[in-house]
Amino acid sequence: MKLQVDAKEPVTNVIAAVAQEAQRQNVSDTLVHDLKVIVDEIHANLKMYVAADNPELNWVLGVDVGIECLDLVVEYPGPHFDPTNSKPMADDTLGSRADGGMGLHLITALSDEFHYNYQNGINTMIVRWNLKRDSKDNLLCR
Amino acid sequence: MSLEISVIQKSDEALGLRLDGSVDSDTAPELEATLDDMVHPSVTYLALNMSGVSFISSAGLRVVFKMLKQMKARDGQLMVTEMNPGVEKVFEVVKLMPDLSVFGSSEEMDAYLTSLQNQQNS
Repeated sequence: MKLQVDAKEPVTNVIAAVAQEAQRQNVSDTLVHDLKVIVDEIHANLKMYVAADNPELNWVLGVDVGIECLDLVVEYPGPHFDPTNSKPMADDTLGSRADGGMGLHLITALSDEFHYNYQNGINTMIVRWNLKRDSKDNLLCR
Repeated sequence: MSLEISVIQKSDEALGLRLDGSVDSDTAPELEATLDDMVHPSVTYLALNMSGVSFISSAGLRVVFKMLKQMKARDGQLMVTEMNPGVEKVFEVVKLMPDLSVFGSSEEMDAYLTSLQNQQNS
């Protein structure tokens, strides 16, 4: 599934579409929950940091459920920005934990892999979960 | 999914809210505005019943952190009840759990609040 997402789109609609596709593919409730959190993190960051300079920004959000893995793929035009190189969440005080890095920390903690690529002016982020199937043929995180 | 916020307990010192829906980047500002409006300086016990929360992202967590700091500054407590496993996992990932008073049910929390009230009155 590939969605063209407008920066002005309410995140609720985007999350609902992703969750519906994942459920259609028998992805476990646990993983659907984690997907929802991560889609919100990505949507909020693109809206706040990328769409701020380009209100007409659109990005492509793909959900690809395979035999071995589930990939959430986000592609958007703009300057190079590698989120996998961002500083991790501070963990010393309540204030510093809330200040920054929390969204990125959630993305890495709730998924198995987080990759970034930049080519021809397009940023591509891939959030990946390794999968296995249980006896009911549901897809679970490994 | 939107967020519904209902008041389940209100006194000078304590405020209890029930949240239903998702606490995401669209709904967190609404939660923050409600709490800013309702958490008066006298409130030292803030309880959030999260049994109806499907998920919470960092936007919602920032609001929780803000309230936690306020309660700690007042020698109060932020209490959370009935989190689903996904929400609890997110709280654990950002290391929030040790700073919260977590209850499995509203009854447990009510009993705790009643005992606190009795201690203060005696």
